[in-house]
Amino acid sequence: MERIGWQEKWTLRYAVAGLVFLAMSGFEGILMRTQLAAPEALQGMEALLMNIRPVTHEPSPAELFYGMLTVHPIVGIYGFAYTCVMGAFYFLVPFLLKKEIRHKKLVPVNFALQVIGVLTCWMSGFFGMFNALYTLYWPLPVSYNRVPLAGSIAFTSGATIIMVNVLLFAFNLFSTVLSKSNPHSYSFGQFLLAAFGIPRLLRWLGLKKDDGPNPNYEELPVFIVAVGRGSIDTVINAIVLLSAGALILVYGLSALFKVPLDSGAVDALVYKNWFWWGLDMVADGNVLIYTAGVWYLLIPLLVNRKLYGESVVRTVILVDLLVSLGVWSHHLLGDRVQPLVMRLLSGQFITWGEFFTMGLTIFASLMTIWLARPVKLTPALKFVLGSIFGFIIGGTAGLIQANIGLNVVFHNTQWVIGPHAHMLLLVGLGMLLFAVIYALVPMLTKLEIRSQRLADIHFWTWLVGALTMTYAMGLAGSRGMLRRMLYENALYQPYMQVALVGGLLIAVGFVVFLVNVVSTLGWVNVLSLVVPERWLTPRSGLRET
Amino acid sequence: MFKNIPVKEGLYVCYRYNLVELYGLYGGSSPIHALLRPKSAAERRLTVEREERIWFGVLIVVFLVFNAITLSPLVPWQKWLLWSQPAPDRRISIEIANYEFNLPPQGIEVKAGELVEFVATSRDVTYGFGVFRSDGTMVFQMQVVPGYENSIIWKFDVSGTYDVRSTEYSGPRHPEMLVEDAIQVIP
Repeated sequence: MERIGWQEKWTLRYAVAGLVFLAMSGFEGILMRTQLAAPEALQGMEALLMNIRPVTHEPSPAELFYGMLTVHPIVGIYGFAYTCVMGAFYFLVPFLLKKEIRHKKLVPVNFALQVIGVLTCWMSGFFGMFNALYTLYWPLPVSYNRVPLAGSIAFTSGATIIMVNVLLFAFNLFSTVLSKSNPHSYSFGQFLLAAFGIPRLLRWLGLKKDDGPNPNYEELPVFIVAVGRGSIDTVINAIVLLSAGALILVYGLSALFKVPLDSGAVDALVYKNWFWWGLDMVADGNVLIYTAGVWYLLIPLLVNRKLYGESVVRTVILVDLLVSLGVWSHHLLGDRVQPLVMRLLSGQFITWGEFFTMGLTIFASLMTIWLARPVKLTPALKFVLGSIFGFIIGGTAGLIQANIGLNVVFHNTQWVIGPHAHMLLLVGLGMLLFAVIYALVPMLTKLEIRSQRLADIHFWTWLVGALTMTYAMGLAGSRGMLRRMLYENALYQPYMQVALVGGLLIAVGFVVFLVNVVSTLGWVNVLSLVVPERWLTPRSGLRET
Repeated sequence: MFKNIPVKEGLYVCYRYNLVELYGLYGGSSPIHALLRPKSAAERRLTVEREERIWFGVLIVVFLVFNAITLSPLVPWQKWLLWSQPAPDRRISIEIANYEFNLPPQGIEVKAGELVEFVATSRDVTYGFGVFRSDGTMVFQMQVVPGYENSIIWKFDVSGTYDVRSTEYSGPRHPEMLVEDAIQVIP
């Protein structure tokens, strides 16, 4: 019988839920890949599923495809990535601060709301055929001759639950950091100043004297600083998406009660700017800053050396926050009505700010490993290196399309979603979260990862699969293949067939990973995460201490 | 059931062949905290290592070179989309509504080398206006935002026929938005 803390057990539950969502999102991905490679392949399965779908007419293959495409990123990002991040931070933040979570009751509440919110969104696509995509460009989500009304209401309700939950989580994180449960407590003002790096900047500019050797709020581990700063993006993102969701929900409910509102009352371009400003806080905000923070945490732990260039790193996280507030126009480079100065400054030049911040972040990370030689290439460290590789490739692809000249032929192509988005998500972020799981499982449970060989197979199949898939998509994109498009002719089918092989390799890697983790923990221990302790025999399962 | 392999009591290691020992989880002084917190006042100041300065220099050079090339007329359309605001030789209006392109009834015939302004408007949702060669490769595109006149100037170099396709998702009938051989470019 293994004894395990309450928080550790909840972190494992978050990880399990996150992995289930990754499996769902991946399964949808494979289905869509199959449809792109062989358009008729899913007909048999769809005919069976139609028996349980409460829709009035039989949906077309396009409606099914776009329904899946709408929920695929929600399940992948808010289901897999956010849930895993929540679980990991709920363990790491109190652990590193030597404090308890401020509002412990919120831990299970956050878990439940995240699962309910994501599943509601998923069901709006699967059962309700909601198909406005995550971009929700105004007025498509309120054009009820194109998207189903019930699906629209269900989707925005699910998204609202997720966003409120994200705000609750951020509130709990900030409360934990700021709580006065030990001598090293900070006021909210002090923390905000530190989060924005103001005292540091003032000292650098010679406007403030050194505080001396007294321990102060700047002694927070750099990971905590990154979590704090990234969470500012997380909060802005949630508030903006909440406002957009509320707007769509109001229109939906008005239509439901037969008093439809005029969609022309909202300016499509202003909405698009507002929406992307908030949405981009995920892609170019908290993902980058949280990722940097996790590298800064894991690498010193895995190679047993202090982080190289920590002083610059702390400043870089501040700059990253400022950059993330100003980059959204790179999503509007195809909009000729977006002012040129916005496209050039916000769309192109500020986006290059990420080249500098991530460039310095990656340099500090690699230098730390280099200077710590000889190091053992443990699975966690391998996956950290994989995630750095993913950010280099995916970030470079992003800079190519976030260019007012090149975007003319790259906008909305498979290039954007392949070598940029999926490279970042599957290799950059995905491998980082695997690294966290490989590192945290032994820390949480005192059990070693069972098989080094399986971890290696997981590493290579995942990496080669993702590279194959995104490279094929990128080639198709550079040949003019659009994203979000079902082609009737076979123009791009060879590329899509190669991409499907890549997708299947990724799936093999994921299954190998699951086998390894389950055999590490043991079935009974995994079961003990989801069933009450009294159902298990006294000698089995992960027991709470 | 799989057999568990317990790690030495009180010692939190990631792997047996790893170097790090994490103990004293909640309270006490643990190496993990020493590893992660800056200690001295010097560590709290902004200091830049020599290698970081060199690397930062490399990043600046890459930034300058890449942006100089892509903003220059080496990307041909930057000549008329960015650097000059030429008066177009022709103006072609396209209206989009209910998943359909309403192109000029007489068809679109342009001469290679002339500057053509395409002005697209949408009467319902956001669409895209994309021009493609017959082999599927893209010539150019723009977003068509409802409530605005969306315009782009283009100069075709190669004669032939070109397809028009919506490049933005507008609902489940989006894939149908293709007009083959919509533009004829004559020498």
